[in-house]
Amino acid sequence: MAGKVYAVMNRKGGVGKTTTAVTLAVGLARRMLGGGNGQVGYALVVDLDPQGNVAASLGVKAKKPNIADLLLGRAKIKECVQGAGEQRPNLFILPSDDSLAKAKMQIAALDAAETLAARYEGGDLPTETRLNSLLEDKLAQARKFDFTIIDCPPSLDILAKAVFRFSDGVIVPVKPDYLGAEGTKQHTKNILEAQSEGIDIYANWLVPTFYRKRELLANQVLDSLRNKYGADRVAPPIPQAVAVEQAPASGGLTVIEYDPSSPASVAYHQLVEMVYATR
Amino acid sequence: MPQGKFNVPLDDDDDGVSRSDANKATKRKSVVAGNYIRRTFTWTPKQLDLIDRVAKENGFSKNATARWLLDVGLSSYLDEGVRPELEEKEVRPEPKIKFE
Repeated sequence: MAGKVYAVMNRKGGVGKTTTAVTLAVGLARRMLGGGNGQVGYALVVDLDPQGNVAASLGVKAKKPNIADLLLGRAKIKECVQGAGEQRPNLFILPSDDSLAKAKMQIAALDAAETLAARYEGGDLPTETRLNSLLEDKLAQARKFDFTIIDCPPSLDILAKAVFRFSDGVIVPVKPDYLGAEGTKQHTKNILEAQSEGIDIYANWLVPTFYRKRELLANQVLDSLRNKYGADRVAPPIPQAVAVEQAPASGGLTVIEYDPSSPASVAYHQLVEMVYATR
Repeated sequence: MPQGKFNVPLDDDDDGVSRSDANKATKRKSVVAGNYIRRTFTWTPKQLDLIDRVAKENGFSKNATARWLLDVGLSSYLDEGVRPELEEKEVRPEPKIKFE
């Protein structure tokens, strides 16, 4: 059975996309370690952000070739994937760095040239470019992992459709404040737009992050999210916790490794169970 | 604006993201034939008894009756300007706890 692919995305920066992506991936990997039937499951985190924070968050030195080389056709996925540390035997990462920004420009230029060539040859403009299926082509082998979590940058730009097409679903971290609510609306419209173009993509869960339970506005936004999207589509909120910030600085740990008893760890474990249930 | 009530963009359906849009974006099916959404509210026993009575008197289902009664109330509020009477309650002061 092909593995599940979930993209962690939100156009707003600083909402906890990378933290959520890596924590979820670590949680899923742990969940699948020593399963009841003795079989181990495997998880992969793909970093699509040129900031390359996935490797850093996990305390892993990112190697080359990486996602940029893969997308440009310079390397195969097997050469780009690396382990996420000895303590995480069934978790792997496909790292990124600044070269991805340049690679995206090259990919966009190539796509435009191919589209233009098709036009000058007298044909109609292609309705589907190779760009839209780029991740399906280059990351096809990722389906061998039980779960692939894609950490997306705030601005996906040319890769947005490719991510939607490759993913089985979208996980949306949301800060429960005014701008977070506004951003969620826009994100919903993006998904609807992709659906109108025939892409089978859905927002599976909204994950409220940096939640402060005593804050009136946060609770109001949380209620609004549940009312609008349904309580079953809004994950338990991740409380703002110092442990979340300290974890990567403590040898590249996630909060569930650093402080398992933290309320943030408990909330992330609940998200892990919700995602794991789709296996 | 009542104290403690903020403007939350998601609360307004007029800005392009309705509940139906949200359902579509999240592949969330409505519970009954795509027309209704299940929502849980708490009622007083007396209210429930009265809903049951009205349903029985008119031969309607309880759900249909509750929806109709809500419509009547909404119509009074929106079209006739009926507003709730406010009840003042004495609030007992409580000490702020520093160490929890």
